[in-house]
Amino acid sequence: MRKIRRKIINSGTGKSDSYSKAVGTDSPGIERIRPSRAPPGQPISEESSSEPADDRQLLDYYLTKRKSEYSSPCDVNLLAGSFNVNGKEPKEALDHWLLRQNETPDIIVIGIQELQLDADAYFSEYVNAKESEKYQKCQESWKTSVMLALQKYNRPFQLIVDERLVGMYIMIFCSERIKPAISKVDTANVGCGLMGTFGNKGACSVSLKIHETSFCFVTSHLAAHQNAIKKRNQDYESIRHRTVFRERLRILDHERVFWLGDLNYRLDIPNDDVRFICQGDDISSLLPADQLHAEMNAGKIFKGFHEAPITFKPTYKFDSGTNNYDSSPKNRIPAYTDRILWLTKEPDSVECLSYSSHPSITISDHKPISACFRVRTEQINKQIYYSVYKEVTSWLDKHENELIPQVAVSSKAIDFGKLKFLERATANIQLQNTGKTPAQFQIIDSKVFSPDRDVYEAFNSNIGLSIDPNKGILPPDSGDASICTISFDLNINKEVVSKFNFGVKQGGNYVNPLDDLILILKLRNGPDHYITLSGDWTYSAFGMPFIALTHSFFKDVSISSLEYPATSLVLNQLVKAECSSSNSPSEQNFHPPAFYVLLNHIVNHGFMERQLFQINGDPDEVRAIIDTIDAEEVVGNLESLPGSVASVAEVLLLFLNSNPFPIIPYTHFELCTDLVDDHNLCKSMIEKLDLRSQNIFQYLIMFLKEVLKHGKINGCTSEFLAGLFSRCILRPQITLKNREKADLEKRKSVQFVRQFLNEDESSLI
Amino acid sequence: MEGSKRTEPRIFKIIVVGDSNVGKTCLTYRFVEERFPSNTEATIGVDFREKRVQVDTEIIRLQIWDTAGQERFRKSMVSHYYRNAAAVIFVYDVTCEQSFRNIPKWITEADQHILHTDVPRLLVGTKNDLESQEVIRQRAQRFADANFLPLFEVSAKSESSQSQINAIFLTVAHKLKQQKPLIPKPPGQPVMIEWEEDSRSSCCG
Repeated sequence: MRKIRRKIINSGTGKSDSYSKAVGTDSPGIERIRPSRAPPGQPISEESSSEPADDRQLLDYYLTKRKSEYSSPCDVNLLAGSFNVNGKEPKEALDHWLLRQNETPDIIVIGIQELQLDADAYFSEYVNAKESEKYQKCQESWKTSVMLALQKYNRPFQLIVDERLVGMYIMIFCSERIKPAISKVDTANVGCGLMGTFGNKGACSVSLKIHETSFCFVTSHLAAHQNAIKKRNQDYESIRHRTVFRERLRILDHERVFWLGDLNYRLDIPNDDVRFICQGDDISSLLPADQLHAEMNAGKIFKGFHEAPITFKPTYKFDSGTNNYDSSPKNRIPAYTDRILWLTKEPDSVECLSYSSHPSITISDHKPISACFRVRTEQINKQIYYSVYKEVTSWLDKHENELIPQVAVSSKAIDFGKLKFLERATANIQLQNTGKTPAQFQIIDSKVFSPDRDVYEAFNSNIGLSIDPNKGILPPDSGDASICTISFDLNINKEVVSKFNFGVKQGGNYVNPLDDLILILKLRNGPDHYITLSGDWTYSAFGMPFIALTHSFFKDVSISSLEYPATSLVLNQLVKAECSSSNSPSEQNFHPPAFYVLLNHIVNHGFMERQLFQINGDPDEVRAIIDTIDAEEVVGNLESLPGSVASVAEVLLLFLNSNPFPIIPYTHFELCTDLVDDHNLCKSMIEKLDLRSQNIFQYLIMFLKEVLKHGKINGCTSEFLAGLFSRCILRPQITLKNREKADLEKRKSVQFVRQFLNEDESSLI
Repeated sequence: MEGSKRTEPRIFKIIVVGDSNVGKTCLTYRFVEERFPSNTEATIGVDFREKRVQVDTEIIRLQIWDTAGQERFRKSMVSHYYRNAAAVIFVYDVTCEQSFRNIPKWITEADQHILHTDVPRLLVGTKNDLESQEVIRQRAQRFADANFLPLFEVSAKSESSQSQINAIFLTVAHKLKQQKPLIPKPPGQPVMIEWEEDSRSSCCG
């Protein structure tokens, strides 16, 4: 981890080193280091392309807040020099300007203006003048002169970076001592001359880090002329806004900004007065007339910038080669056009040690100026930094993880206990929001679940389970409002009872449908909880196929003693029964006991019942009858059914309609409905069924015809009975979606049954 | 300009699978929270936690999905979570022979659900602080080598193995960093099965 960190700090110089080695050095003795931004044509460095966005910023923000813990101050000496060279060659030594006896600087920033005055240089960007010999020559000669002066220091300096825009040129040098501390070097320039974009005016800037402190050095040349204050102010704003470094860093985002150059602000005071004052040593009376100070005091420009007290004479405008102020016909008013300003985010972190002009240098119509600073930078203790870094990331992670919704679930295993046909089973669980954000939950079936989707279909159980509520939002920290009771209601009705009898195929086995279902309590943007269900189901005669109930297998075995693995036994027996053509006479006449008992009860007590099959039974009686049948107490005791005829009639209908298959197999549905207009063919269809189905069919038809005989009393008509019983006799396997066609199929089924009810007694077999 | 070029922070989903009670939750907890959970009930469901890790200059987020290990949930449920997983960590308990023997099952399952062939996979043996080690290191190493899985043995309980556990996830993070940001695979694209993938599933099946 520490290694990684070091890489970040040094990444700028590290990359530059390798680059400069590859490219070679420009001048002997001075190693040239390029900015880490990839030069044109080079692939963009991995560093700049993969710089992470918001997360990094967030992390940096909190790390910066704790900077004092892991950083210690380290002072560096900075020499800043600015010189408007008026397009002149450096014919004199620059020692006076750049050499200091007492303090050896660590960093030297040189800003030059008017490196080249020719008009074609203005168009450098457009005519590619950068290639021209002249353009390069003046830059090289000034660079060489500056280096020559710097060589006289007792320590060597290296050029870290330079940047040029037409006449403006900035160079940064550093000593060996400080070089490893420099990183993230980048440059930018902004033209604001002709049309607001040409490079005759504007600024060249360098962004870099010394230790962990960010620096920006700007050299600018603002609009000229005594009265162009507004334009100068605009130039400043333009540079400030348009200078953008890597990572969208702007000038004022840096912790230390040094702004030097020919800012071109003048003195608003009569020419003669200025020249008179300049003959003496005390120039303090000039300062109130300085336009820059006035504009700064008015808060219009350079907000927050500082400047050391000016003790030198105006640096403009001289007759070249002399120390005399302008004697040309233009007779310019002397002014403090050349300035060095600074801005720092931490008070007392920059101390100006000197601020002076250097009149002995007479090449230009300006005098060079310089300022020495002691600047505080922050140095990082990597070990402490690492522990703070870990704390900050853990803290951010913790917050992040706390934003993941959390709920406590009172139980993730729901047991419904003993389950019965048509008896509601209910269980509750409680959800409590234990997280710090609202928890949006939804309960879904694992079958419709996909973790990539945020919105799910509502829970849609096909085993008679309903969940209320199956979705909702729990607010955090809201007492009872953070708690929600969810009730699970299982109603094993005639539609689903057969699924409980048979079980659901899971792998190679048949299991309780509850075991097959895993509910997912899904929290939006949060974890998923699984809820499992269980309940004891014992076989019921309801929801069993007639064929299974009639089969001899069950003559000797109590149905209710069978458990799930036995489902396959049942099915095996059914398959065998289907396959074997031998229907032994003993089986032919065997009717399912429940069916037989129910019909028998109505035969004995119900034919004369008014509104037979037309009124609901009593729920308690229905329950009691179902329990009696499933307990098989009725076998051999035909009179033992409790309850009224209406209740028995309802149970009979439940019994027939809970059957998973119609009496006439699905495979015969189409044929039967096609032949519906020909009764004889229909009859021969029936004769082709297996004997058990035939028996049950005939038995039911005979019963219904008996009911019809008493139709005047019990109110049943053949149409009514056919409608009521056709579904358990003849229906398609899949109900068509097309309503019209489905209705037609239904009508044909009813017609099929009705013709049997209407036929003569004699025509029955 | 280039400086303005920005990418969203990358989030990688790492799924942790293995038998019930091998210590998946403790492992992820140790990595994310840097401590051992005081008490853990069986994870019935799928939980996740996030952690930032720095790889070179990039901070990436690992989203670690801790799955239920019970047999009951394995087939029907856990498989859902393989989708878009950037890495898989297979966990067994060095004191439980059966949990190691079941690793091939988990690998087969991962093979069935992960469509990308370059998803990093790791094998982690937990509870190596306990005396009753049933799965000896050499055997696990042989298995790991045969299946191209880097093997780690750790104890989520001991403070001293924090750095080891961090190393596991950093190993994953380093591998993931080389990848493109996660873009869900568009449906209907042909599934690439490389030769190596094939041989892997057959030799552990």
